[in-house]
Amino acid sequence: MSGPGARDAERDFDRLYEEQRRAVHAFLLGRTGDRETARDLLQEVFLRAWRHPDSWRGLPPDRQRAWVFAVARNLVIDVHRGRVSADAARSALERAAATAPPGEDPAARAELNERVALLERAIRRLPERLRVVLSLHVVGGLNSSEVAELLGEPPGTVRYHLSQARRELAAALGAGS
Amino acid sequence: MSDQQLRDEDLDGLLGEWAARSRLTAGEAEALRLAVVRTRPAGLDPAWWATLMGQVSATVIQATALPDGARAALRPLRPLAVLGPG
Repeated sequence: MSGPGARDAERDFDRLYEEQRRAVHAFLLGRTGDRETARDLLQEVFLRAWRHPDSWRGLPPDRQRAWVFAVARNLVIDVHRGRVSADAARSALERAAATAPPGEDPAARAELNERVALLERAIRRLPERLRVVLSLHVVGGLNSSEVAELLGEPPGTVRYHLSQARRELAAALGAGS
Repeated sequence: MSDQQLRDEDLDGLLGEWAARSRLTAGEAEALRLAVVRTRPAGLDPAWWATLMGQVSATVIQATALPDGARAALRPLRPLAVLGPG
């Protein structure tokens, strides 16, 4: 594809990607509980957007978001369940260790890595509805009203789920420390 | 500061760390975008008909508006005769 039409399409795609990728990624992370699977699915979601621009171009932003999330929901139903259990066995500590900034106290870093790994395991054990809400809020940076709109739930329910997720995580961390 | 406050702040800090590690970095996000846009989109460029008609029109105008001498100059050259060894 080349020419002005192609440039317009790519510009529209870039805008969609920038506006939606973080929330979609957070949603996929919440649904799958696994970073690698979420990343693979994110790519697949936007590949479909790229290949089917007529499905979303020209829609207002809220309906574009609804379209992207509908694709994400359908994909996650089809794909993620078979891979999650294997990926969940991967060591979170191993991945976390690679992110240590130079010059940081190795002992403090190791302790932080251990606690984040503990938290990550606890997040994976959360019921999916709590994990999705938590991920959209914490990773996606959405407030409870935005999460509610995306999931089609009342904001009060979202706030309750967030609070419930935090209670369960605090209990898991308390038990694990 | 109460134990509850301490626990909340500890949890907030850990959740923030988990979120930071979970998000795509700018480099990862760009690599993913490039991987997508480098694939060939399905179907034709939506502007293909306009592009084709524009090229046809330009060719017709060029072919009919030039004087004979100029048109002759635009014709492809005849292939050169292959020279034999002699």
